[in-house]
Amino acid sequence: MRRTSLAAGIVFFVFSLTVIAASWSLEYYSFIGPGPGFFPFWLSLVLGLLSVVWIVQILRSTPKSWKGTGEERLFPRGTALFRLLIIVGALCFMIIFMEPLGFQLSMFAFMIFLLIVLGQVKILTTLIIAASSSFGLFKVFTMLLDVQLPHAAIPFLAGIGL
Amino acid sequence: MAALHDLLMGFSVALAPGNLLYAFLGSSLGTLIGVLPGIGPAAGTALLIPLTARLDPTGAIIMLTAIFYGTQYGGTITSILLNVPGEAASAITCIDGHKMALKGRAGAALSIAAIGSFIGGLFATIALVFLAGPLTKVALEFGPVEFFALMVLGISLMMGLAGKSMVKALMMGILGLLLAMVGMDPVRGAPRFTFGRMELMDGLNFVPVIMGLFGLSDILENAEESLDSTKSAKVGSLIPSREEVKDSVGPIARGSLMGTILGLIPGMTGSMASFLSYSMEKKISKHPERFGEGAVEGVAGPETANNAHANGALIPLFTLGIPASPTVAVLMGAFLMNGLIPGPFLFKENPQLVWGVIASFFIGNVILLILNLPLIGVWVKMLKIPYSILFAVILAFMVIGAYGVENSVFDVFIMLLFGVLGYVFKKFDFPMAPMILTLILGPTMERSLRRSLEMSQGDFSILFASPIAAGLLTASLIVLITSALRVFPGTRKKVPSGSGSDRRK
Amino acid sequence: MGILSIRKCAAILMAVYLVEVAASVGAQTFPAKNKAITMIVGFSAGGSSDAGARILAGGMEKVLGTKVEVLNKPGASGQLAYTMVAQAKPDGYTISLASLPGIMVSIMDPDRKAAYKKDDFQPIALQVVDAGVIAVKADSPYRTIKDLLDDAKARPKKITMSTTGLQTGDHFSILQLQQLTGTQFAIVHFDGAGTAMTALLGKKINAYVGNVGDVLSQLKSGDIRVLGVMDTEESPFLPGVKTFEAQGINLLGGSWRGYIAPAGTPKEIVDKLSAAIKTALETEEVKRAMDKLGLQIRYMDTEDYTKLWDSYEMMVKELIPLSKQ
Repeated sequence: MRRTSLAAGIVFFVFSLTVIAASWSLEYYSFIGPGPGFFPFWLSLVLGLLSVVWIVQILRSTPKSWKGTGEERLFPRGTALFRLLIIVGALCFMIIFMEPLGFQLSMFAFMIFLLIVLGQVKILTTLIIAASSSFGLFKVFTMLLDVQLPHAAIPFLAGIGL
Repeated sequence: MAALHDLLMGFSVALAPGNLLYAFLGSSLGTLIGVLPGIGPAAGTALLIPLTARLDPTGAIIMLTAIFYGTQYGGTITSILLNVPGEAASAITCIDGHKMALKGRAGAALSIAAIGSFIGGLFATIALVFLAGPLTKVALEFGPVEFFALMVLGISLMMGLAGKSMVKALMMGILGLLLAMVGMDPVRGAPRFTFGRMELMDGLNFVPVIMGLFGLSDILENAEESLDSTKSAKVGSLIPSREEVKDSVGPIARGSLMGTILGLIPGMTGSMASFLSYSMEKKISKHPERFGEGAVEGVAGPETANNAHANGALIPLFTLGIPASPTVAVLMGAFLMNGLIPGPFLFKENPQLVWGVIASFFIGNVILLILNLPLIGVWVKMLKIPYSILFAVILAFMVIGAYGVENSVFDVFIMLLFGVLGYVFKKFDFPMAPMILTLILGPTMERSLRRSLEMSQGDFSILFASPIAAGLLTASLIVLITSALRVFPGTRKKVPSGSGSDRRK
Repeated sequence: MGILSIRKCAAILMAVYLVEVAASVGAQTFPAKNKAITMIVGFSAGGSSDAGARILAGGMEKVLGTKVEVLNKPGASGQLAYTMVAQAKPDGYTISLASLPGIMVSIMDPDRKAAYKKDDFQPIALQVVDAGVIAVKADSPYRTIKDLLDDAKARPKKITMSTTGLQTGDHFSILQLQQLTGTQFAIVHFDGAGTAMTALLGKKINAYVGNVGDVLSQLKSGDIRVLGVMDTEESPFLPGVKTFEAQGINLLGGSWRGYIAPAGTPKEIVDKLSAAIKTALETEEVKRAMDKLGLQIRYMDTEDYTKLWDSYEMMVKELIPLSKQ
């Protein structure tokens, strides 16, 4: 855990460096005061310094003092990690396919996948919930609330109302 | 008192059966919209305007304003129960509200929130009736310079939000400021950190960000254990304990005052009001370490403030004809569509309508209290749904919510990104409250500063020329010094950070 | 070249002819009864741009006999919507609201990194003019625009003037005013009309620059004085306010909103849409609705609207570098 924290500290530090680099190309100061690059530069500078302070704090602590905080490992491995990745993956699926396939189809697939794989819910319940979450919510949001959830971009699917 | 007389006349209008019905419908719809994550009050109100097209002007306005302040009641529900903010101003309630729910105090949290919301709304409306004139003068005193000073004060309160580690809190605060700078630069028009993406030109959308930081990160954390549990959270008594009520009195009083004043000032948003209330409550609390673990003050204060803000934001609309926030601007559009121009002359031209509407604010808030209190039992039953199903449904709603803000898939991506980030932050015990605070206040702070300098063409002394600004800046200094003293050796207290969430049992 | 190639040429010509017939048939039957027209609006629901578009959409539905659905795609001052329409199929079923000068700025300003050019759009018609105005507080010493300009000349960069945002129509109007009159103001950018008007009423700034719709309430309550309107004719919503032209300053500005289609949309379809807009704008219902919102109807057909685009192109090109100082 100590090592992972160190890694995190380094990530913060590197991040602050990239922001400094990015703000370099922006205007620093103009006649009416600070330009676009002014604050990002100074803020990321302070951030960099603070991440160094944090790293130093971690280095100065003894490995023993980390033991009492519970788990040895900060991040899960194995099946737990797998579950996390599935959720993230499912969301990526939605992001990629929500517009091409349309909301209803993609949400339907999304729900079925999550409910069965992670929730281990029975088939019938899964289908009911998935259907109402996708087709049901679509009707509710588009008709009653005028929220424009996407139809499919593929003409054939759009033709049948998806 | 002339105002009292007019108000009584207004009540006779507002209590007419038709108008009463509209107030009821509006309140209910508003609550529902508030519950749905992502559909904010502005969009919700706008979309329901066509519904009111067939009504007479008084009825239409009564209904729309009811929807408007009704959303503030609804937004709390998902924040407390599911750690998913129903809308921006309720985000801060997630922190302590959800913790209370996890401890079985969901009913109490919702009750206190409802009561506080009612008192806040009532207070702001009373202020509208009796103090509209002087309060408006106060609001007008707030120009860019004063705004900047106020933002500085708000951000200095962030120091009080730090938990164990001041270093981590500061890092998060700075991160929030940097994130606030994403988008088109307000003075030069140069795009900053937009990676060439147009969707980022207006900056990061707040709603997907907080949905990710709170809602998604929570689900990810829970996913570490299995998600197939058919067990559900325990639900304690629905009524707040005597102690909880006692602890809420102060925050509610302060929240009402703060929310009303902040609502008056065009440019101040509801999330600013609720967040500043939270920060203030933590700062003046005798037991700040309770915040983040389910302190009822962390629910009472912000919820009161955001309702007071919503009702307070109506004051400039009536006295100046200026919409104080984008949501009120939509309301103003509704006025215009009914052939009415909002402003002080409306009091003389159409006193029936104006006072009828104002009276309906009182009625609306009462209706909302009556509506919401019994419904708490119903909402809390939501917690009884097995998590194996609930998590997926929450995810579905969050996708819709994130998408619906601007009809953009990119916002769903933002939600995912911040969900993962939130999860990581929690792991390393980085407090999220400071980042959210600076994210909310940062843009306004930078813009106000640069606007002030545009006014003075580069002369910094303008910042101290205004007595209000000077006063606020001094207050910030005092806050910073007292916070620093608390943290450094000599007076150090062990204070946990307010961001983590427990595992679902 | 041989017989085979002639056959090939014939086949190609035949194909081209058939496609043209199909297109014109499509144009003649445009719009198809069950196919909805999508009107993209690059501004949030409830704002004045959106309201005007929705009113027109309702009117067009009745004229065309098919649904016209508004799709809000706010963000980047309309840029997201403009990108979407530029990339849509040019079959007349996707059109978008276009706001000048905003859309022109996004095209011509390299910093905006727009994914489209002027040629990617086919202008259809102009709908509404929200003319620009300059206003001061009622108790301000400036009684006419001349007073304001005289003081500005005496104290360059000391008179503060608000805009509702960077590179908005107001901003460009101020730049034009400075050019025309040889003055220099301290330009202060706000976010929208609300905060700017508050600053004016709170005496934090000297003059407010915005659109007719912004000032209706304050003018009625007597809190402000409007020094002039940036149009060729006086605004029906601002009784007694002279145009700047009448006061000797050739300043025209504000928000000019119309509709565009993707480039390549067949002329017959564009004409049909343009005619539908014209007819809709002449109906009592639409006229009344727009009047209530303080939106001034001005119709320009495709040809005139295209000429307007060209003139805006020139104006914006000149002023963009100035807007970045």
